[in-house]
Amino acid sequence: MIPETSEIMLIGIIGSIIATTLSLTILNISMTHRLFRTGITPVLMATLLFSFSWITSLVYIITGTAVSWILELTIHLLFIGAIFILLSIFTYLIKIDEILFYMRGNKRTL
Amino acid sequence: MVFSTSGIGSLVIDVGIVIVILVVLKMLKIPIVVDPFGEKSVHLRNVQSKDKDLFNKFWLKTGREWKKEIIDKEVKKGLQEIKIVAGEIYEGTRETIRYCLEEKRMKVFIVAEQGLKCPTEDLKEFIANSNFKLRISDKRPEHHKTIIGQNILLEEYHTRHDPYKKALGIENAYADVLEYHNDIFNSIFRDAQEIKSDLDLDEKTVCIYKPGK
Repeated sequence: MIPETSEIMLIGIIGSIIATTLSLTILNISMTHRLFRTGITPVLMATLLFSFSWITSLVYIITGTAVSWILELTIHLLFIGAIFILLSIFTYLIKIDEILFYMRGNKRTL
Repeated sequence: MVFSTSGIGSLVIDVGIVIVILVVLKMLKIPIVVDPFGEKSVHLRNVQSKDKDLFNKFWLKTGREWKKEIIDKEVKKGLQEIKIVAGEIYEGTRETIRYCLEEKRMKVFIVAEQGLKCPTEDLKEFIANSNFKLRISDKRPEHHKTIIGQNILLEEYHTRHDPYKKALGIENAYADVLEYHNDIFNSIFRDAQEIKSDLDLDEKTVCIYKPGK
């Protein structure tokens, strides 16, 4: 079943709000905790993209179906942002061995 | 329609955009993987453990190689001292000390545990050099490290009879990380007993420091 435009719009708006909140939280953790600093650049990119998706979904609500490409742009921004979140997790996994090694003797600086 | 929201084409476009963004970040010299401790941190191996850890042998540098590289780099920038917290003065540490004293004319500050596991001749030779400052701690330092300017080599925890197998080399450590390790070095060095001449040492192949002298 192909979802209707209004349903996609709803998914886009709710998705962008949730994604923006989530990425802002992760960004905050990345900036305050050394352990999560490894993936700060991809998280920052994801936050920017999610923020744009939030703006585009707002624009879509205001302008309506006449500019449906904005809705598609919202979904693309959400998708690319999600790829960046995955990338940040990957960067963390790359460094996990070194972080654990350091943690064993020097917990105070983490 | 500007985009297509369904199908493989859409996925390819999105992944392509991600790759383009990553290339742009790389060109702008913005690091994609940020190191949590400094500019770059790498795992290192001990030269003595190469036979046991065949896997590590092929892709990890030895602590000695890393230290030499960093010393060369830092001396060019004007660094004149190296700080070492050690348990024993094993062959690798001796090699580094000799390299610093003889080839680079650097000051070497070292604090170690009683019973250095260092041949007397070598130790006498080091002590004769005015740039070598040795102090002996009553308590074994738990975490051994070498501080070369802003770079730190952290050894894996090991006992007196078993040299470390793995270490972590941090290049250009962040200020707080460097401050933490410098503070530890300074406190151990301050509390330790200074060795001013070879008269403070036993005449044995493995030097044993005589407390109270």
